[in-house]
Amino acid sequence: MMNKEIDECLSAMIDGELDASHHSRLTDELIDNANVRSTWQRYHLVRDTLKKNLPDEIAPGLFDRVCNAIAQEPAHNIKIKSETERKPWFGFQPAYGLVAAAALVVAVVTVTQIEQTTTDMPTLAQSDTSSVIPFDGRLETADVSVVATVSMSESELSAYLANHAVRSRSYPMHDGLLPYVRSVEFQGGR
Amino acid sequence: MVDKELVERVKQGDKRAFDALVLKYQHRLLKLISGYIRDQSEVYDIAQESFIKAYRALPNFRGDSEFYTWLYRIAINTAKNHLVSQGRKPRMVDIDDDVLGGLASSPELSDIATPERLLQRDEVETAVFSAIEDLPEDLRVAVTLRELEGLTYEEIAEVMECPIGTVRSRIFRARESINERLDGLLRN
Repeated sequence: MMNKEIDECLSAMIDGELDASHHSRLTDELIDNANVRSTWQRYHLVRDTLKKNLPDEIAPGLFDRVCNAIAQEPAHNIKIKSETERKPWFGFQPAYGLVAAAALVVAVVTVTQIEQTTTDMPTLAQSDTSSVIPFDGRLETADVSVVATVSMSESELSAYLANHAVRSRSYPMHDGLLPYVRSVEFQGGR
Repeated sequence: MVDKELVERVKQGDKRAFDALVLKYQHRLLKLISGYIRDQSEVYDIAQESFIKAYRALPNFRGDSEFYTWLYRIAINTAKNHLVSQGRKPRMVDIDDDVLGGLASSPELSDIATPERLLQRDEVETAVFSAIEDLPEDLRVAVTLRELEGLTYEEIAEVMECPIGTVRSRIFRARESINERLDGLLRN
């Protein structure tokens, strides 16, 4: 960059109007180039004058005194963390991320195993309907002499029972019953 | 943004980056400390001490606040401690945080200043304001809207009905022109 160009960028920078991508390079110039530093000083002097921020006395001595004193001080050496190091992954520390990933793997394996069990079971078409007791369309109970006539064909009922058998077995932890099925007993004497 | 970049450079070991911060804030710091201490040589000592304290403490500066707010706080504490050690009272009431941002001139401070010091400051002020008066209108309006009204380039572009690039160029040319006027004064 030419000097004029640098100074124009500097002017924009002190106004907070310089593109962020140019900041680093211009800061280098500001640190290394005495002319740029002098321009920087003047721009701020003008700004302080216009904003009535000047002290009673404008003496250049302070800068030299501070510089000489700072020269006697040791340089700092702090390693600045990169953005990726600084920002946790989705709000979690990396260790928590590993735990979350492990838990996810366990969950996937468990679900896959259950699914595998389910798919190993016979489908409705393949199911053994011979084990289903044929129904003649009438229900009989020992205690109550009520005969219920169900308007359902035998084939429809057999299909329903076969389908129910397949579905209920897909939940082995409930011993073949769907989780929402509850067994009740009818006591005729009450 | 600039301060943050410079502070990071200092933390990484580049002392020269601190020079730029001193150049930027020296006048404002002197003005601030003058609110507490009358003697100008003491004001300079306190300013120097404040900058050195700031440099030493910079590794602990986390950037939660602006650098200048942090620096001003150091300066105020240094000035107060100095007065306590001398068994003296501050020359004016405490400066609260609102004032720290602007540091507008106060009539009391002007009254206290000696004629010689006023003349010196007045010379700079006269040179700057007369340079602005002599600018072509488009440059004068642009720099005034920026420096005195605090408008952004975009807002100035809207007011002046011109592209943002033109605003940037006008403000730069205005500053260059003022600098030329200051050159003679500061050399003398």
